Amino acid sequence: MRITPSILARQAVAHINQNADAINESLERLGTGRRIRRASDDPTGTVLALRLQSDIALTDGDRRRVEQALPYLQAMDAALNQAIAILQRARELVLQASNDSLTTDQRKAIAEEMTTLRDEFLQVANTRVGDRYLFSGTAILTKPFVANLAGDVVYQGDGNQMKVTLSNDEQVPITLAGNAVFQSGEDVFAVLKDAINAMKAGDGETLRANLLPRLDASIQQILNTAASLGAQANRSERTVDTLLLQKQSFQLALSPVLDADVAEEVATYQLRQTTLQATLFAASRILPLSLVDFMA
Amino acid sequence: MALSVALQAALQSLLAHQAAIATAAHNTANAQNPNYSRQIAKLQAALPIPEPSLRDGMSFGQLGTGVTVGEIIRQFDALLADSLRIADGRVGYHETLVNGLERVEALMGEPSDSGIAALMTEFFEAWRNLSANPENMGARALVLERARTLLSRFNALQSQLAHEQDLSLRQMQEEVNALNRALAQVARLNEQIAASKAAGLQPNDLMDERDAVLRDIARLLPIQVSEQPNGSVMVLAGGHELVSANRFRSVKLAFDNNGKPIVVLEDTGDAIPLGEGVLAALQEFTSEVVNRLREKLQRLLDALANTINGLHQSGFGLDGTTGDPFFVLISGQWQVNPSLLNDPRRLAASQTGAVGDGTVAAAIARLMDKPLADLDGQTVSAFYRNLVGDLAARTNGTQNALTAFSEARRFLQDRRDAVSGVSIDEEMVDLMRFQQAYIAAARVLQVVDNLVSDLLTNLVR
Repeated sequence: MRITPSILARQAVAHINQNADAINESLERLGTGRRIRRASDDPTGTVLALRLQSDIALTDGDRRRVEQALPYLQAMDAALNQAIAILQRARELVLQASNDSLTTDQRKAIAEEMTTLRDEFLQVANTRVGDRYLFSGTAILTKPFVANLAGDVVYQGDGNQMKVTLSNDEQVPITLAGNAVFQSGEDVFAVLKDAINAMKAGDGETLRANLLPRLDASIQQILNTAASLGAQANRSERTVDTLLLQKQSFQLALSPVLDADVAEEVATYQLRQTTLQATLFAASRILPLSLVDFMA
Repeated sequence: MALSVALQAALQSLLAHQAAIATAAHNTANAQNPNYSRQIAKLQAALPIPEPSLRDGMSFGQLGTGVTVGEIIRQFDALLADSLRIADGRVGYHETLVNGLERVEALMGEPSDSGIAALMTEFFEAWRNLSANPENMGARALVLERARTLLSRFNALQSQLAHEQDLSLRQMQEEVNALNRALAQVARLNEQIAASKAAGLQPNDLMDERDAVLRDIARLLPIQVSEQPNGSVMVLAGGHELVSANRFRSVKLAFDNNGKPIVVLEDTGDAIPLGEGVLAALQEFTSEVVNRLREKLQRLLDALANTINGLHQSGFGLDGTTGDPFFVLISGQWQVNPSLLNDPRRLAASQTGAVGDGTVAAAIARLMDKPLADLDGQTVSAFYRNLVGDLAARTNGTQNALTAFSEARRFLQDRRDAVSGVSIDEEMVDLMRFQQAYIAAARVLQVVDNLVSDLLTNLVR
């Protein structure tokens, strides 16, 4: 083949460009720290990266929300345990009061303590975290239990539960429907009211035969709720750990897709630089060669 | 007799080598002209004359009369020129398409922390956050703010893409104008070439110029070039005659029924098939790439807005309002319902109307990964990811094709230069050869002159 200077020049320019382009790419990757600078660098990797980035964001959001839910679960747990303690004290008082040999003054004193316990119980049932009542279902800003003039406690909330939804549709309840806890099966407030009335009336028989079993049933009812709530709290605490692990594994998967391998880039950069230098050297030696220089 | 023939031969040699040196000088001068084809002065022996001899009488002579330049040959390979034209069209097509695709890719800006994918995730996150905090005004404001950010990104992208379409249509118009100018130029060159050929001349440089113009045309759209016996060329595009002898037909930009830009003949209105070339790339970029992308984005946004509206209208705001759409169409663009922006309590997060109920907000948050019939059963996020992935794959494929076709064209250019290119060293060698021949002819002249003067001096004495 006839080789003309323009063929040599074209060849030299093409190779210089190729190497300069590769160096430019390496530099850009090193500068941005990213393997994928534009979607077309790696179409499949881009789709994967978008998926993983969104997964990481969702996992982060879920973890934040479960962490926000945990105080509610803990507060509900504490409130229910306090309610059980109050009812257990009430049971002792009912037992004491059912003794027929008590004096009227003694009964009155017991009835007074019982009244205090009922008020305490009402307070516990109206526990709030921040602005939210824990036992009014989804009517979180409404005080759930209010005593009317007749001394009956009326439920103001609704029968639903406020729930935190995670991205995998798992739901963590952060309130309870108070009527289901305190007024289904046994109406605990009615039990307490009846007990006070029976104490005042000195009706030991009713206290023994009627109120004691009802009080036991009330305690059992709240214990059941507390147990399932405790299980939920444990589960949610584990969920936080799981979500943290998940995020880490997503990040581990994302890194090789999106992040530049610095060591590899530096090696490529150096290799290409050497090649470019060689090309430039060859071009500078060969291109100026001409017969013209040797003609007298 | 023979002496005057020798004198004549020497003179012929001087003239012929002057022409050869001039040709070499012309070649050297055009060594860096990419469209130039090397010319060679074809030296051939001049017509011999009959020499009378006693033995053979006036038989047709063997006495040479020197050298003449038969013709100035243009080193040219028509097949290579054809291949180069096709290669130019392919490279032009892929180059223009890659340019456009890379611009669109930059507009999409994926993967990044600020692209639509990230904004969409943040938008749905805000809904999920609202579902856990439905009574919180901050959570409501966040949903509205992120909805506005997402919409403004969508709307900005749409208008940028529309701008891209405008730009490439304008470029297409300019290329069509350039095509018309080039066609006129070919017709004019045809006329000049035919005229000088008819006069027995060799219009090499005009032919180079015409080949350059033909390559410019072939970059825009594929053409078939056939040379006529009188030296002019006929240019056809998809069976339509564009240039014949000194006549050409101009073309113009038009739009077909689907609004797709096409190139038609001005006289008959017939559409010219664009094949692979810059015009085809611009056509494809506006009507296929950008248009389809815009349609898909609109489809995504419509599906998103309609589905969210359906859920939102079923829910209740903090103030008990219901039936409000979340997104409304204002002059053809989706916007966040202004009445929600005025009063975020109207945002319907609740299914029951209870303050602590975030069921509707949770359902909207779940939309991100819920297959929608409007999106052919794809989820919102998958639909967008695939859209980005398809565009990236297209760009990547076109880039690779461009590299391959550029390499192929470089190879063809090297082949062309091997035939038609000027090697300065070669011309220098030629110059030395012709110089020697010229000096030799001059020497011959001197010898003959000496002989004649010897003869005359001796005779006179």
